[in-house]
Amino acid sequence: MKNYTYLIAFLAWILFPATMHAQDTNAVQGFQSSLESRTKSKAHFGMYGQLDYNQPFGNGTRYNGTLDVHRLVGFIGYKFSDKLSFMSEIEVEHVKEIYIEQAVINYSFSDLFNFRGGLVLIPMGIINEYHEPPTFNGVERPNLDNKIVPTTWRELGAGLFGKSNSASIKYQLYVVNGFASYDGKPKLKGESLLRSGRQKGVESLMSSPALAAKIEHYGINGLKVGLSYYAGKTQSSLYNEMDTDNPTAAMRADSSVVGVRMLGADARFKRKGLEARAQANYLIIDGAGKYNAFAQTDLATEAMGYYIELGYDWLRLCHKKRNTARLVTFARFEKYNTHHSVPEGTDINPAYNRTDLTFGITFMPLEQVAFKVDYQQKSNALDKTPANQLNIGLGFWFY
Amino acid sequence: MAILLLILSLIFSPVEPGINCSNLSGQALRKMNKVLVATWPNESITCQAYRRSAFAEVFKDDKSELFRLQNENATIAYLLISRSFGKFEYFTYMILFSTSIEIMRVELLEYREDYGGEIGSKKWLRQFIGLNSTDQIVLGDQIQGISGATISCRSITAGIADACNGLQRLQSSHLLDNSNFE
Repeated sequence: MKNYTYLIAFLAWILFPATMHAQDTNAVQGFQSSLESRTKSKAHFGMYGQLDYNQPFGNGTRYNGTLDVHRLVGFIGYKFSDKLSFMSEIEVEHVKEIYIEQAVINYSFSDLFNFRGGLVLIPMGIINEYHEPPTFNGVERPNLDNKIVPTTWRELGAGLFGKSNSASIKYQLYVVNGFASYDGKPKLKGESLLRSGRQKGVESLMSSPALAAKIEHYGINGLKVGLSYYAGKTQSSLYNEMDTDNPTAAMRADSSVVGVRMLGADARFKRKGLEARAQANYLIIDGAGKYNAFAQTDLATEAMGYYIELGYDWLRLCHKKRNTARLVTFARFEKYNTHHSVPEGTDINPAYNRTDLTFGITFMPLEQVAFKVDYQQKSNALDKTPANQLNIGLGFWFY
Repeated sequence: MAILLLILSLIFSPVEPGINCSNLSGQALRKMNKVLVATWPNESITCQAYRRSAFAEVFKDDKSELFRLQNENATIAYLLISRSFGKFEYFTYMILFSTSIEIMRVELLEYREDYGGEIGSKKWLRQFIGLNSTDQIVLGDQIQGISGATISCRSITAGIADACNGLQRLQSSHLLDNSNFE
């Protein structure tokens, strides 16, 4: 009898505040839901776009310019509840190519633990995640984020992300499907490395998973630094319906894949009118020699690149404090080599060792619209005479 | 048995400690109370809400709630719980003001979106401590932003500047007196 008394007393002590809380629930919900009903609806929509004019110049050669609606991307999202949401980006590139750039379900357990699953943006470098035109200088994205980080790099997978307010750290960790190196024909080559192997969620084939991770720190005011890592084998259709007792088939399939390990480090700094960015990437490809023999191509064993960019917003000198207009002049120095080292049997192609210099202006009458002009000098180790290009662009986003 | 129940009750205590000024719950309420306990560790604090109608007239918004914090009938601080818009969703934060309307502390209570949550960084929010004039509370000037979170940085900075301004106007119009607190 005594034991039951204690138990009843304990249960009452636990449950009593819960019943009090339940009575308060209506009051609790009152303010929140009335507020939320005055907010935008659970579905939300936004868009960003990039329109370009590229005009190459060359000594003694005439070139046509190219005008392009490079990208129009719509964000469509839905908030199922306070913790569960859906987010997607639907992209139209060059007017006729339609892709999904992102399509994820997020569930929040806490600040530190959130689940994300779907077509995720791989957290490597700055531009792959933050690529809305008004957020970067220059009409085109940096070439490092084209050749080595094959942006926009997105694959299907799932994982966790979160942040710590006391440590000022955020992280992302996903398991995703990898690049396709063979899908009936070989996909990878020395000049563009992994770029053609991106599956982008289009009926992606998966023969083995890959890991993508990033950690970022923003505790020093004005500075954000990030460190990224990606590791996994590429995917091959030769593993599909493969007879596991056939060593020749296995060897052939193994030659059609390579191991990929990529490291990235990036930093962004802003203080008053000064803005600076830097990024470095290092890529190791295991089994490139076997792959090159199989695919008759020239994939590298190592590739690396970096860029440094400095800019200054001259409108900060005017004392119009709450005005968000910006006029930034910037310069970017980029060096990237997709043939840093090659396997035996492959010759280094010096044309893949590139240096780009970009000078430009970004004018933003407000934060969501950018008019950009820049001039690029692109050279490589084979041909030291730079190819020059003028770019003029319009970028916008709204939400 | 009794000892076991006592231990279990200490581990799984359902009673939320501290005060609940606003209709906050869960993690947001816990965060608010943590801040109050850290600021006044050994004091017993009571909280009175400002009359919402009078508040809305001056602030011209219904996204904020103002409270007066007292210890033994002496006002020690003002607490503003406010909401500002990120890219797609509201986020909730609290600002503690001293009786001379100087910012003592800012804390992010709830952030609902996947990007921009860096504004919860305690280190970043320390930039606002000691400020008491809207001229000082400007992003890109005295307040440095966070790359990749510019929208939410701008939104919370503007919200804090507006709160400071509004509260100073209330004080200079003698509207922070007893009759306006419930």
